[in-house]
Amino acid sequence: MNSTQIISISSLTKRYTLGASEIWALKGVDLSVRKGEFLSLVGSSGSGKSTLLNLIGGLDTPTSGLIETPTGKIGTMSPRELARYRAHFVGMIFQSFNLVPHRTAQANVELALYFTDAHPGDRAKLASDMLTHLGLKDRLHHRPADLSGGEQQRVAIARALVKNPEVLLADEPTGNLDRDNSLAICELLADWNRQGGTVIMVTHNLDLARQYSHRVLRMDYGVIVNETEGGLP
Amino acid sequence: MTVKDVLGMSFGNLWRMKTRSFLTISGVIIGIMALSSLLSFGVGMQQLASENFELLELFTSLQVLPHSVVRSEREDHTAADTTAPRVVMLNDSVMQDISRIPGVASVYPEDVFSARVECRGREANTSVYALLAQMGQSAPYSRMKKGRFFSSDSARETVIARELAVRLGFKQPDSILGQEIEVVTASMNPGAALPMFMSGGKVSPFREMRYKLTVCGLLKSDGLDEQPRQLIVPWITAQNMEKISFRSAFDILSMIRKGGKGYSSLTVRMKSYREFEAVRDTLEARGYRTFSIADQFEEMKKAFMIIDTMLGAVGMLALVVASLGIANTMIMSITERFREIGVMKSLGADDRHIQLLFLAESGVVGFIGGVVGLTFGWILTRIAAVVIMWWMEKQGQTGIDVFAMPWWLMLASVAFGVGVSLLAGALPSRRAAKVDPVHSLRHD
Repeated sequence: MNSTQIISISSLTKRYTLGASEIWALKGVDLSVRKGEFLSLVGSSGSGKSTLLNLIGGLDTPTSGLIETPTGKIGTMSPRELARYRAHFVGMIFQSFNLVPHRTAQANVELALYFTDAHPGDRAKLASDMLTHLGLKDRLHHRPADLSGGEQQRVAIARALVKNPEVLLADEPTGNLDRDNSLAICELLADWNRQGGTVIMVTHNLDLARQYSHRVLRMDYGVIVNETEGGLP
Repeated sequence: MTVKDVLGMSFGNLWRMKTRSFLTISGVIIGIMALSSLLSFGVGMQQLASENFELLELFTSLQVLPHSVVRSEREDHTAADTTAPRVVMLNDSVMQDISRIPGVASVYPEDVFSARVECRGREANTSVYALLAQMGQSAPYSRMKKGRFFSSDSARETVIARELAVRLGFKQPDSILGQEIEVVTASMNPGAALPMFMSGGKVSPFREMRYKLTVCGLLKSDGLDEQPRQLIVPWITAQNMEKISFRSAFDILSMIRKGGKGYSSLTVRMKSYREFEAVRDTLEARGYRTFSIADQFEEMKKAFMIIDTMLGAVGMLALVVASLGIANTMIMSITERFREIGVMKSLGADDRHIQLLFLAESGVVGFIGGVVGLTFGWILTRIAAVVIMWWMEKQGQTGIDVFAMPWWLMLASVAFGVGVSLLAGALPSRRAAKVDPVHSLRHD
């Protein structure tokens, strides 16, 4: 892995066992992600996009192959090291937002700081600043149920970014949003990318992928089948 | 994640599910309430017995009783009659012998005879104890319930137990103080010997003797049993009473064998409990028969331990049921917060954090249940104590508090509540820690 790379993936496989049958979600993926890159993964359902994202996010462990990051190699990390990797190196957002329903927007964002080295006394301000930065100043004390889909996803982005990760992993972040909100969310991701952050986004929306990405990778049946340049220079 | 975070999240989750938390905690409350109040009873009984033993100086005193002694065991034995027993008469020389044993603080004689007591037209039969006036300086006579111990060995005064005062018709036993009572003894009537033979045994050889004494003190009697000495009279006053000093035919047989009458028993007081064993062993080595409550108390302690264990087991049953409730609540909580667990893991929580969060929640349930249960248990014991005291007093007994809640029992109850709750939450929390984040984040 050279200095411009932030993630290097080689011969990555993932097998799931469902009863007696085995499902190979990834069949040998090789991928190199540059620091500061906006990378989109597209493909049909079941092509392995989300599995790849989960493996990069340290939520799952590969069957074989390696994911190299500046903090270590996923697959060889201990569960505690992997948790620390998730806490510091990556931020994740999801299609269904995955906010904790009984916590306010601010409390949801603060939750991400519980597992970092942030001082407990600074958490509230950090969370509030991040939500204000994303245009949710008036929504700090609202619960997810009181927010629109776009607002919920912005809270989720705030939660992912508040811990200042190296890589933002977005799993179909616009899947539950209308066009305007989708564009707004992608703008937020692109804005963060412009500041030097690395984004890996899984999406079904090819137009958005082309518009906001440096590279678009198409996956099919657990392998990367195509790579095209995105709209970003 | 700090301890404050863990506790804050635990309290927050319990507060969010108020009804369920209330029901779960109620189980622990009932368990701890039962456990603490039952153990409080057991501990109270033991403490009461121990306190009364100490109050009566029963741990530092023993009684020496007349006994047959095998000569070979004595220092003055001869080889000729090693097995021939002789009777030790408890007299002044024996008292001196005993008082020289290291560790012995004092030796007092005690005499006992049967008499009838009369007062204001009421009468009661009882044993009368003759003691030295100086015994009033040591327990239990140094602390009278009311009044004082008699002033001298020849005073025409007496000290009476509460129960005897009640038997003599004093509903308020204190009011017997200053009253004059008559001690009626049976005495041999030498003048009746000839008429008795002449009448073929129809004339009684006995006569009644009456002695008026003023009640100067009421004995303290707050133990579990009634005061063993119901009526105590000064030593010389008793000696001057004409009486047949025996309570049964065995006493007469013993007198005949001893060729005279010694003291009924001797009370030996030790300087401290540390000397107790050494003094008792020395006395027994010298052939004296001894009796002490301290020896009996060791056996009683074993009995109390069994009682405590049984009471604790009953309380434990309630707590076991409560622990099932906790486990059920925790499992339901995992199901409900399945996705939340995944979210926390995606944010950097490891298995340890999740396990800690759920364990803390169980612990908080146990702690709240323990503290509230202990409080309720204490209130319950206070109410029960008042009712028991009221009932005992209504029955003419001295009311006693049979419950005790020492600090260690309070701490142990809360700690036990927390401990059982943590055990109940151990398996669910482990299950929560093992939740697959990928699966849970997709869960609806």
